[in-house]
Amino acid sequence: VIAGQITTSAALYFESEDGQSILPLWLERARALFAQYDLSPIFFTASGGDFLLDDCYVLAQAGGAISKWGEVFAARGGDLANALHNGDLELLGLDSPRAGADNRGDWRAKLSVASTPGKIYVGVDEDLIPDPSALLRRAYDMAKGLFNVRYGIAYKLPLAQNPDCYASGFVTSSVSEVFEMIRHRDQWGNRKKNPVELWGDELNGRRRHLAGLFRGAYPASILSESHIQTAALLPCEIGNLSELDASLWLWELSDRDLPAAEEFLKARAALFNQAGTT
Amino acid sequence: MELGEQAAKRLEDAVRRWQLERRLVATQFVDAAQTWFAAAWPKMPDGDWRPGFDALLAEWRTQGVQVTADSKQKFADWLAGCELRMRDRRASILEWLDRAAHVSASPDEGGTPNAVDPGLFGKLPAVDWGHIDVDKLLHEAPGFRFGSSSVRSSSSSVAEEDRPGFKARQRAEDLLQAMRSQRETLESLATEMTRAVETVRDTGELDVAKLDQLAEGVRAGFVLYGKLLLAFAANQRNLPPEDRNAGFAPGTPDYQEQFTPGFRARLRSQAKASERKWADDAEFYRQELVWLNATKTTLDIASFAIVGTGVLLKAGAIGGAEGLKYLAIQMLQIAGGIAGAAVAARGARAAGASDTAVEVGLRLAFLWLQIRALRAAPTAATQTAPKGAAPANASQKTIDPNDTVVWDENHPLIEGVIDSPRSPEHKFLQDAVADEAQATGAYARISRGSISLSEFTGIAHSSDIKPDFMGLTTEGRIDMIEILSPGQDREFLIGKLQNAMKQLPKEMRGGISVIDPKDAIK
Repeated sequence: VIAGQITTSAALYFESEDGQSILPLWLERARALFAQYDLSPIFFTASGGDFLLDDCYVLAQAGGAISKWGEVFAARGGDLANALHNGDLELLGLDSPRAGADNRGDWRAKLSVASTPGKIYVGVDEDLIPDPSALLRRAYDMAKGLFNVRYGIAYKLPLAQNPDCYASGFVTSSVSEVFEMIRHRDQWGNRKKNPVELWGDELNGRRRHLAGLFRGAYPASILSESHIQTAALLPCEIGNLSELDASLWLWELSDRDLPAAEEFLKARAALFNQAGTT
Repeated sequence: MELGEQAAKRLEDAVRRWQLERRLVATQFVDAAQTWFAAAWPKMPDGDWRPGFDALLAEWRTQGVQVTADSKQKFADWLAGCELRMRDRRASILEWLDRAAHVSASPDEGGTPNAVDPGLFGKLPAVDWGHIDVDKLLHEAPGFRFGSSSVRSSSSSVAEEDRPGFKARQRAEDLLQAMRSQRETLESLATEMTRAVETVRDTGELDVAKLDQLAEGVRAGFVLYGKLLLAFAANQRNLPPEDRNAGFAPGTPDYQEQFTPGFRARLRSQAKASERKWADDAEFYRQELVWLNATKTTLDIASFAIVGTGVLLKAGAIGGAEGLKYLAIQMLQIAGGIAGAAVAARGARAAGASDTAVEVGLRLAFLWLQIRALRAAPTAATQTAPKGAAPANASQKTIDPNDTVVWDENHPLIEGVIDSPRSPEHKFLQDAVADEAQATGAYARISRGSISLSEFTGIAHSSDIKPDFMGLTTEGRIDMIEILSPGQDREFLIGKLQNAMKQLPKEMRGGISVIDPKDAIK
């Protein structure tokens, strides 16, 4: 990962039913984003059909396998299209590596969708799309008609800080942390979790972000009517609030507005991790 | 090497490791050190160790290391009588580092031929850099025989002997030959060392005596090589200006075989500018000596780090992209300290390694280092249990002096094998996690890689997985850990574990973690 590489990210959260499959149109829209910036090759990981989450494949027709990082990644673009057509997939991630990348985490663009727990992530190098709000709109356009989006956030993070995992509430561990877990099983289970882990618990648990609670204040957010009501955002006194679509709003904040907006949400007990709301 | 000296060296290794890994608390260090020296301790010689040790502890405290009175006393009692050779050596090491980083002294032009910057190298322990007996050196060099040089055998005509500087040219040839022999010896030792460390990695069998023996051989070899080079540099002053560097003429075997590409490049530059003053030449040799010292410092810091030196040598010999690849991979073997690694990095760069190769090597070295340090630390159970009592949920387990956990009924055998292909760091981490879990006594079953969740739990999982680590705790919960491979997506890998965990009954759900080898040291 290039030191200091900043990524613009958008995360959308949608209501989903168990077993909801990803439609082929999503792949078309995803391909269009990669094509717009001439990003190639495209790797993918999928869950469902005969795809394994452990494995990496190439989004190309058979014969286009790529040998990289000591492994051979099979070209299974055709299989992927078939699996989507058959409604077999519940999770799909696509990414395009940076030139000279030594692992898959060093991408220029990444798109992922998971029907459980209902999350879309779109991340691109800052130089491709610098404005979080623009990326959030783009992500929403990709999801429109396919997923019932109820909440979304956009932010900038260094790629080295795993912005995709931030959207999912995942954290990786150091060797020390894993050894701590192994050695101190009891204490580890009762440890104080960090904000990212708490978000992961919320996503996989009560999912109150779909019903009006906020993760925090971000440069751009997609809000439902229930968010507007929870935070009493109308009339909007901080940033710019505009209608995005039927019953959805786009809340844009400048860097200067962010601290005040965070306080504003706290004052209205609109954050998912506030005392009394967890 | 005497047992006491061996123990002192190991102590130095442990101290260095602890200093650099300050996150390890003092009590852990004490226990780790005890384990390391348990075997050698009874035979340690008496000595005036206490003032130096107390001073060292005081310094550690000022650097932020927490040393409790209890742990200090415990350690001090245990170390009583130890010859604290490390005290002086440590100071020397730090001084070398400092000097190597700031080479500025000019040679003493008015001194004797052998007096090449004694201020810079005069601090090396057990080496008198200011008074080098060349003949003795040549006798010490393995494989060298007097009279084998080309100057002596093929060019000793009357006309040649009449030329000014004939003896100096002979000596230069002898020295070059001795250096070549010495480098061959070092490479051979490095190969042996690499094999020995690979054996440790692959089998877990640690032949400390052999490693120490090899370490000593390489260290002595480098000291001798440094002396030879220094003598060669000094001898240049006895040659007429037109003959300086004569033994290094491009195309000669010595020129081709003896030096790293970077060294040869600098030499070529020197040869082209033969009219340069002695000061330029001296600077050139000093730089080479700095490299040697930097490498040697690495050796002195940790016994395993000598492999890095061998690797540097070999990588230089291989050259090109293959050499760099070799360097990066082999650095995994290095268990030196951070300072040692920094020095190794300097040496690696001097040998032509790219920043990326050095970075990869260092990261792996640190990883290895931390694993070793963590493994040496006591488990939760043994930390809290009263002395002499069995830890909770664990029978008495035995740890031999090499940190090998002996299996018993409460430290289960590790099931399964590591799937392939996996990178060296992946395999290493997978082993380390399983070994650590085994050592805690907190797990009833442990699997590694090739066992599926369904097989492990006896519960059918619709989307079955084979985590890199699974452990069934004595309380009936299952922990799962994955180690990220270059082609895997970390976001999905965590999701995979979460989904698998959700399929287990609530009372069986344990912890999940994903380790990215690149971020393993935070």
